Amino acid sequence: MKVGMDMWSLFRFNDEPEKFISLEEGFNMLEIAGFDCVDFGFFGEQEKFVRDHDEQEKAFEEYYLNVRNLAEKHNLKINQTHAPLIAFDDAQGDEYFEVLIRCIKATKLLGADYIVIHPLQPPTCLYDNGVDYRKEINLKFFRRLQPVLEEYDVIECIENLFRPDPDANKKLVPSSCSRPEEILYYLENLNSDRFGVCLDTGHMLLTGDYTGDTPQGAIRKLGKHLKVLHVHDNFKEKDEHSPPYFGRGDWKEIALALKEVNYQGVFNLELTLYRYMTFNKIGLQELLTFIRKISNPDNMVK
Amino acid sequence: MKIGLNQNGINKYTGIPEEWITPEESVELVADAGYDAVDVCTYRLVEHLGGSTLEERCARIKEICDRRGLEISQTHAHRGEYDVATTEEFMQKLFKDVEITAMLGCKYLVVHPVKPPECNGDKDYAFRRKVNVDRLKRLRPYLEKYDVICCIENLFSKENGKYCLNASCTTNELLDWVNELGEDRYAVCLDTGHLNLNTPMTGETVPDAIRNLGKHLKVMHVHDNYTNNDSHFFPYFGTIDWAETMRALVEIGYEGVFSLELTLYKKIPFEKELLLASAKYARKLCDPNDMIKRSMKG
Repeated sequence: MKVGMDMWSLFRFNDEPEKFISLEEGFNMLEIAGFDCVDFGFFGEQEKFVRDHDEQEKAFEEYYLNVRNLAEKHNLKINQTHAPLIAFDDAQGDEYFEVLIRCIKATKLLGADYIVIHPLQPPTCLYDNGVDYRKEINLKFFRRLQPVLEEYDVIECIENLFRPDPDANKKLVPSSCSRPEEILYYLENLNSDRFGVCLDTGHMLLTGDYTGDTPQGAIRKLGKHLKVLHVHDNFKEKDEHSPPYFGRGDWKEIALALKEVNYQGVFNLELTLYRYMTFNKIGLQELLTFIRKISNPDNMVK
Repeated sequence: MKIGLNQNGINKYTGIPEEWITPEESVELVADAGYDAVDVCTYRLVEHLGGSTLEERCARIKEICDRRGLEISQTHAHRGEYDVATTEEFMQKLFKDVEITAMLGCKYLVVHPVKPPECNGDKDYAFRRKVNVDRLKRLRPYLEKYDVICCIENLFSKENGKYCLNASCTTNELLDWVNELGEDRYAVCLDTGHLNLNTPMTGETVPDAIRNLGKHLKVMHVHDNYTNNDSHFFPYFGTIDWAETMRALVEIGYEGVFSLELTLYKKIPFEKELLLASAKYARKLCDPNDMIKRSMKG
């Protein structure tokens, strides 16, 4: 199975000049570490670019084709992208929809088949509260995206989420799509090959004690609909985005479940590496190399 | 400052004989990964001896370390729960551990205190002090005979799945015992991860502990966690403030080894290549001299 890494976590320190990592430098680091694929997040500078440039501009097209070429030069395929995150109140507006159109077009230009756009999370719909309401608004949200996804031949992968409960000391609790069944509900009702699933293993660990799900159980429930992954670990308390084996994930079981459902996608890590890279780029390269070695799903099943 | 690694983190027996990485192989692996020193577990040396004697194994380990330029900076004594660790049979093992330490040419033996279950919740200080001091005092003749220093390690305790305080959870308690036992033969091993588990209850951080221990700090078990699990992670993979920890070590003039105690075998697939990769990565990430330099930059 191919292994990927999100680019975003490499750029978290780009506001500190001595630690600035360019796109090419980042791709080079991932290549040296042995990664096969990249998850391109529209965050930080990338979010700024996509917000500032109309998708009809020549510069827009040139920029993303150039990024794709850079990745390919380092033997990396951009397998998936991640749309910018936004507050619930703004997520249904036209302005954000315009940004999503650009992200979907950019995804195509980058050579990726998949984009992850978070489902809408009404703040009041924690746990299983307001399920009907959130199903209604999310179906509407996804249906609006469908023609754009069709135009650019991109698949939106619906991700399982959590949300902090303000009445429980901001404990991270289930919300939109925390249950695989809710995601399957959308897929069934959308009835379109333009939608699939992104399983976030860390989010599933956070909400699983309430919903009764595990990452491996969710993989089995989602089966053929599972197209991409956000792989990370935690101790079921905070969204730590730690590497596999640095939390409570059962990685042997997760790898076995992926094998069982014949998952054909990429084992894509989504880590907040900045946590461990407070010193220099050499340290980051070593960390990437180490993480690539331990994050081998073919080895995890042993 | 030298850097060490526990060989126990590499040679745990998986239950499958052909998969076992022997103590001899694990020491070689620590050298391969570029460490200056190794922490040898006495209770691993007595396992699966095959046809050889304990003395022969110790000689083999020492020969490997001498050949590879690896200092045996500390050993780790047998450990057990309260009801086991207070028996006469167990005490005989501890006496032997002192002898093994000397056979390996090592000066420091790390010993776990005992935690009477009735003292969970920070109860009965006088009783737990007496039990521990009396028990550790019995080591003195052997420590003197073999010229070894007993380093008492700080531990954590659990009751009904939750962390709680008991014997040795604060450095003040350890210093109290050392003063009673005599600093000529007794010192402290600071386990950074265990201390961090107790920090939410005691308020004592790892840098606080180092400063409080001062000259009594002779060896370390260096690892990290999120205060919710004794994870034995690499430094920076948890919540310990490593910059402040290094500043504290410099401040007290710590002359010992920065000895990592990682349980590399616990979760990753048990393969030599991965163990070596982990050990090498930890060696680079946790070079104490680099960590000190960074800490001085702020």
